[in-house]
Order: sequence, then C-alpha cells, then structure tokens
Amino acid sequence: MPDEPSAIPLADVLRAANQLVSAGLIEDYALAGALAAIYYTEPFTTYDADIVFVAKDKTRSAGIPAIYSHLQSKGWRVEREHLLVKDFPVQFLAASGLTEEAVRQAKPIKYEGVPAKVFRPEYIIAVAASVGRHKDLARIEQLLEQAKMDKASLDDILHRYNLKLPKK
Amino acid sequence: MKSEFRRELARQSFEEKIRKVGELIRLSGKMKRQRLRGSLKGTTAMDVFMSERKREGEL
Repeated sequence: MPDEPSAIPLADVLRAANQLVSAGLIEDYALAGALAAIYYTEPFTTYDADIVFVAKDKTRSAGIPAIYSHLQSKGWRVEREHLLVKDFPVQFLAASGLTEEAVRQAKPIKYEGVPAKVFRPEYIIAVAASVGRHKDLARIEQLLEQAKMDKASLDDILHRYNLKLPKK
Repeated sequence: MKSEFRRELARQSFEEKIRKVGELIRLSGKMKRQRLRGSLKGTTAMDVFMSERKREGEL
C-alpha cells in the first residue's frame, strides 16, 4: 500500500475556528494541547488538534450542537468525540476556569497567514499539571526544558489554581 | 548534544514543525504496517524519522 500523505490541515482548522467567532457561535478560542506545546517545543507525534473555546451560549451544552452543525455544513465529519477535517481529528472543548483564562491570555499568532491564538507555555503547563496523565508530565518536562517561560507567571497560575508541578 | 539538537528543532518555525509532525504521523503509520509484517522491531517513530532525514542529507 502506498504511503498516505499526512499533512496536518491546521490552517483549515484555524480558519474554521475564526469563522465560528465571526458567525457568533463562540466568543473566542485558542489552540491548546499537543499542537500548542509544539509551538514552543520540538515536534512530536500527535493525532489530533484541541481547540478550547469560550462559549457564547452559556447553557450546559456550551453551543456545541450549533458548532457541530456549522462545521458539518462546511464538510467536516463527526467521528465519536472528534470532528474531522480532511480526515484529521479536531476536538472542540468548552473553556472554564483555568482554560478560559488560558484562552483570554493566549498568544496571537499567524499560521500560514491565518490569524489565531495559542495557549502560552505557562498555561499549557498548568493545564497539564491539572490533568496529570503520563503524557502531560512528559509535556511539562519538555516545555520546561525547551520553551522560554515567564517563571513568575507560571508560579502565579499554579498558586491561584492550587496546582503543583510533578517532582522529578 | 542531543538536547541541543532538540532545542534547535524547537526553534524552527511553527509551520515547519507542523510539517514534521505530519511526517511523524506518516512514518508511524508506515512503522505499524512494517511491524505487522515482522520488521523494524523496537524502532521508534523518531528513529525512522532521523534515519530518513539523514538519508535526505538534512542532518
């Protein structure tokens, strides 16, 4: 079987997220998770993109059904908890507390000319510390080693959300 | 040496890093298929990635 090209359609993902903002379906968003970490570190394998959004719809559903139907109308497919664009899985996660603050403080970037925002490394670390899976701990170590960090800001976030970095 | 190389990778443009992630996904799929055929035992995606890069003269 020939090798399939595996280009990650990140520009399409970010363009779609921008459209969700313009359509009034979400208030704001930022790239989170592994792809956000890769903004600051060496590349590593990941199989999906996480978009964390601040909902316009403050009900329990956070407007997710409307987001799904909007994206499906643009040709995205749904597979379990993921939406797929060009076969690449994307998760839209409603922000709250720490992640909402992370979206609001996210760093504006341009990816292939598309304006977007990406979680700052201090927030990626704090979120990873709050989740605490093996891969989150590895991500924390990698970011501390490779990313430029505002240590005071990291300490402040960890303190406010009562989080601790794992011991080596 | 190795960590300096990794930091150098970290300093590449986001676009370039995302392209490399795409390559890692492709290579990891290739490895899985080769493992199923009984070859490349114990090889990691990064090993395959590095050896391909070496062959292409990027390292």
